[in-house]
Amino acid sequence: MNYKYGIALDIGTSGIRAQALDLKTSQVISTAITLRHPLPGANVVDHLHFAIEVGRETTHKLLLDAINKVIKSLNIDLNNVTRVAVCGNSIQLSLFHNIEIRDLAYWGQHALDRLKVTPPQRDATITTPEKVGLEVNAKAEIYIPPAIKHEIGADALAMLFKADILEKKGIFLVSDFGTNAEIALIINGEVYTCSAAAGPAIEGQMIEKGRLASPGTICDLELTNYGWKTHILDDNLLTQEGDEVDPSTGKIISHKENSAKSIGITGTGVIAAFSLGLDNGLITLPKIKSPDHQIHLQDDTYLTEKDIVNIGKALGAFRAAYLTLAEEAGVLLEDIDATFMAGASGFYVDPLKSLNVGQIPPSSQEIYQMGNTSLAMARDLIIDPSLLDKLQSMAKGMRSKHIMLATSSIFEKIYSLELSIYEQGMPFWMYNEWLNKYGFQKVAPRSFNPQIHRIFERDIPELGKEGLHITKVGSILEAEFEGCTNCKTCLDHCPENAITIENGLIKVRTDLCSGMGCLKCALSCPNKVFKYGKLLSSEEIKAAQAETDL
Amino acid sequence: MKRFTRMIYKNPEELIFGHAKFPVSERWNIQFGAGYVVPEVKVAPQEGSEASKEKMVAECRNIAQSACKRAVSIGLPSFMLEQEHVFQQTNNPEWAAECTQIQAEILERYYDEYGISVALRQTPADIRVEERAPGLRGSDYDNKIEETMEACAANGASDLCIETMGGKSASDYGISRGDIKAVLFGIGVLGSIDMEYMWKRIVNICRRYDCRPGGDTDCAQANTAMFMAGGLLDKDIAHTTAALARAMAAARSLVAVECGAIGPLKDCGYENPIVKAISGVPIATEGKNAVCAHSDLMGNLTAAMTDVWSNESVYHRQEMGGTTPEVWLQATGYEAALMNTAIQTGTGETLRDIYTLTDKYRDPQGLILAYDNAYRIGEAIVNYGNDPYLRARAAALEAGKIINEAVDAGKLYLTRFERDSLDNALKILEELPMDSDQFTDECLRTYTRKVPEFDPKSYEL
Amino acid sequence: MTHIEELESKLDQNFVAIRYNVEIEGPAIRPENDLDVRNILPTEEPYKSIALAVLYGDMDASLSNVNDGLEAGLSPVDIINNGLMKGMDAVSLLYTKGFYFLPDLMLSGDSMMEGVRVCEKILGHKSETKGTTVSFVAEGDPHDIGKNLVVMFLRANGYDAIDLGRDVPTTEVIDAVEKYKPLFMTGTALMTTTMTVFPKVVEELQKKGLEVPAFGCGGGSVRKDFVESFPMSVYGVEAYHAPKLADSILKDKKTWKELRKEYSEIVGEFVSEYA
Repeated sequence: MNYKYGIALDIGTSGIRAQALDLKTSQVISTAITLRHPLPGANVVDHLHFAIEVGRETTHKLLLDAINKVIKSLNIDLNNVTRVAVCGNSIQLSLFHNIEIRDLAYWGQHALDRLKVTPPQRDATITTPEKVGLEVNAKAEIYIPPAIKHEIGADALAMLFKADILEKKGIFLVSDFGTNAEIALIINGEVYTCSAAAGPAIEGQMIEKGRLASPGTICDLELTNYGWKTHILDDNLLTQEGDEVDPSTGKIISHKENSAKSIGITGTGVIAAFSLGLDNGLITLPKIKSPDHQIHLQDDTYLTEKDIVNIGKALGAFRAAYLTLAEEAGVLLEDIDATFMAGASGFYVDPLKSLNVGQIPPSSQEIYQMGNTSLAMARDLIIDPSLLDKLQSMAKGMRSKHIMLATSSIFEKIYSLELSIYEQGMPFWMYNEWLNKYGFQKVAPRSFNPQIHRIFERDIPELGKEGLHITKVGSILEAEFEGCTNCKTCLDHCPENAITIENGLIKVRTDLCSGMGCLKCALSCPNKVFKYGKLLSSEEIKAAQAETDL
Repeated sequence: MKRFTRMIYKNPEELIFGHAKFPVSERWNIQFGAGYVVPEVKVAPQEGSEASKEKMVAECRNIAQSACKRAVSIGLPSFMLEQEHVFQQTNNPEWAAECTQIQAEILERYYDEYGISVALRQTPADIRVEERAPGLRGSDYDNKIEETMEACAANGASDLCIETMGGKSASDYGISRGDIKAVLFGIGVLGSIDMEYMWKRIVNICRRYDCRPGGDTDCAQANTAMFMAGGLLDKDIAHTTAALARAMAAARSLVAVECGAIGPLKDCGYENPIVKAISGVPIATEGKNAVCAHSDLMGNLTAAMTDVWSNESVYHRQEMGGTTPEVWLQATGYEAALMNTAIQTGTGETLRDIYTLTDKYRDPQGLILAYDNAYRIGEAIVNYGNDPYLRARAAALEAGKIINEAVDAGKLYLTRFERDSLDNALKILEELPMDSDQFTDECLRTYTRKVPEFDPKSYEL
Repeated sequence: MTHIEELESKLDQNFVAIRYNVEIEGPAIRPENDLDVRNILPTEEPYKSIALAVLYGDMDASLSNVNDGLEAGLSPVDIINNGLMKGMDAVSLLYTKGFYFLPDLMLSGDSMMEGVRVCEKILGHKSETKGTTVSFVAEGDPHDIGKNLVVMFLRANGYDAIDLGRDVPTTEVIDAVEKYKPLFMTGTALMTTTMTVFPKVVEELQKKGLEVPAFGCGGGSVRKDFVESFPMSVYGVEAYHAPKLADSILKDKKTWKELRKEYSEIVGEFVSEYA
């Protein structure tokens, strides 16, 4: 038996997805995913920060450890793997490739000059398993697609490539639905891009009962005659109906037998609650009009007013971003021919609710839910490696203009309107009046009958005959800190129970640790000796040990 | 065509229910605006009856039968039955002919047997589609409307009405975006042009039969604004904006009368009091007894100068008190009885004023339709009577003035949304050109691009 | 009196119909008709018009009013204190009342600053302010919306707020502290990668023997426990808290340690982060 396999890899901020393909038939054999990123933290900046503090080498190793673990669970003979294609944003691909990342961590010239950083090209690359430390046949080729520009990565290229609109006439909006949402407006092939720092609320983080999509999380809500019905993810990550509750009290109206118990709510669930709450007046920004100012869902899952403001500001970043793009490009939102929603959240969110809360333009008429385009493009590369050259020329030849939102005066004006809405409760009519006053377009009203095109059933359309395998990732970081008195203050302060201490050796589980967004361990240390950056992977410790032993 | 450049009424005090300067007589011994108010009932065929002609004819027969039976059961001296067509009725003139015929037969039987004064109003549907070539003019649908009108007139309708849709593409765009210029263009310019096209033909048909040309309503535009404005707490569009749209609608709906319509004007034209003040024709209106069809904020006020009091529309079905034609005719019938009692006992003015005061300051939309204010808007219209654009603009500006005066007098309070929307709209309206061609050119440039459904050819522009 | 007017005079409108929208939101009034605003605004001209132009965020009117005043021989200091600042006080008040929003504040702030600039040109020097503050965005960070708000709130409250801009190297911050000896300093960052310069700034200040009464740090992912892990600093929750913190340093000589302890009290509202 001389099967040849290819592996398509997507390194996303919220997890790794891998698929094995039979190169002869181009069929998917199996799929393996993780439910979180192996590095501590909730967003790309956390990952970046971690890499800068702990070191690029350690970070690269942690990532590759996880990827090796994931591809092992694909259930194929890795010796027969001849092609691997990987896709993701510039940060993830640089960590995978083990190249410079600091140019992505700082903006402007000052920090980069001081650190003497030369931004790498991030062109299309073919590398070897040995160079990146991937445990497959040593002769396999590894394809890394190019970034469009250094801040707009291969994931954005995948989104544009799979939407297949670069050569079409018309106006198209393509939006990724992540914490750092890449948004592109394409006008007859001319591409305007930006990246909206929506924030982790969009993925259910920074929300008191929020969780990444995982079994037992509420991912959608449906309006019924008597209340809201929850939709909960089961153990296979499929949606199931849950209880019907009165959201202002949490009283169960009808209980669903054998429903999964809710352990929290995903970003799409929060958006659903936000949309329904705004519609029926339960949410009157920035307040929740229930007796205790909370929205209550099944099994004591609830949303606070702070959660509402957080999700609101995240959604506001989307709206301010696409409005800025439209103003920069001089087109009207209502003239957009089709809106494409990419990414897992963009696939599982109810587009009508997205439209209702302004995450996509309310006037959107044709809406496509594309699912995971990064993984799809990686699959395409496995099947036809010559695509890599095409992508390179596509990326470099793209007539594109990147709008840096943080320095855009249009964005600043519009975002201040968003803050006014979500933090201060400015009415929407006034928002539109302000846009008008600034000389910008108003947000056109809701389209009468939006058409939703959901091409697949899942964000990953084909799981393969071997099915889906969920891989647990996580490594241990260790350190002994000089001056540590074993007082365990760090352990007590860790909100995720990620720390253990054995004889002065501190161990941190990366799959639990929230990383640089938290740092409660280091900050709480009474003697200030806990240095997060000194933590090392067990392997490195062993290697260091071996050296001293010699 | 002669435009109104002077008020037929010389004093708003003369405006009162049951009385019009130019009363209308129809067959079966009924008069409108001749010193008494006629109740109206209108019932929509139930779903499924459009499946075949036979079903539709039976449905229309049952509706007429129920209404007549209840009218004599409770002792009504007169009533009007209106049938508003569903698409199939207008699209198949032979359906319309048979439906009309059977309803006329039933009414005539009751007229013969009991001496009850009756009228049969047929309202074909405006089934034209602007965005489908060749547009509003000369399409199959357009021709079908004309054929159906004739079929109704020939088969016993005592008057004809229609709710024309001209300008709706532009005004919908304007209403949903708070773009007052588009609203004015849609209602004042396009609506008026399309009315002229439609009404000259209807009046011609009526001349050949014993059938009166009734009137038109700006249901497609000003009522859309009213529905979207919704209740006091809704904020989709400001109630002040809806009030301005209503004032413009009067300038537009007047065109039917200028083309030869003599009334009673169509019930859902909330702008009718203004048209009556200008032209002296009797009007049908609706309010508190039309809650089955929609919710407005002036349920009593609209009765103050009505001649035909209507229930607007309700599905044909069973209620606890009988079928809907029975129940709703009873409601409008008793209200008309109240007004007629007031007329004969010399307390008509008091009742009119009470009707008016209950709703005058409930909402700006009611305020501008109170008879004294309706009269003022009428004056603004006839001031620019020869120019449909300028008179619609003047109507809106006058309505704005009326609202502002009430606010300044501390009689009506506005929210910030209502206030800002009104200020913005009035500012835009004031700055518009005083030349109708210039305005039309500007609008053609802007809205042919922004409103894909809008087709200038439909208005010969 | 007509018949209907006679009836109307007998009728209490709310007896038959209540405009609940107005009841809930309050009737629309012009900003200058708010009772509290009336108490703030000057009554005599041309100060009244100058203040009104600021209140309406009308930059052109503000400039021409100020110029008219100067030509009429009014002192620039009077124009600033009795006109421009009064207008801005009214704006701040309407903002706290929820009548005005951020964009109103930004427009009015710009109108006021333009007027102040014209006056200062005549004056030949900076006008007298409550004190000088310094604001910057961390090196490597372009996100300056938060900083711009802080600067605007400080200026609106009578501070000479020095704005160092975005992506500011630590050395520039140190130089500014040396030059201006600020009463209060703020640093903002959106990214966790860049907020790490805050402790470095403090370290550098200490090395040079410099000090600020308090260094307010805030923005995006900046958190209280991080800010409190180094000295001289206080975690700032909302941009509009900045002038209140500065006021308490100015008036009550509060130290950064006291600001941390009494934050809620000083800003005059419940702040969950400090609960």
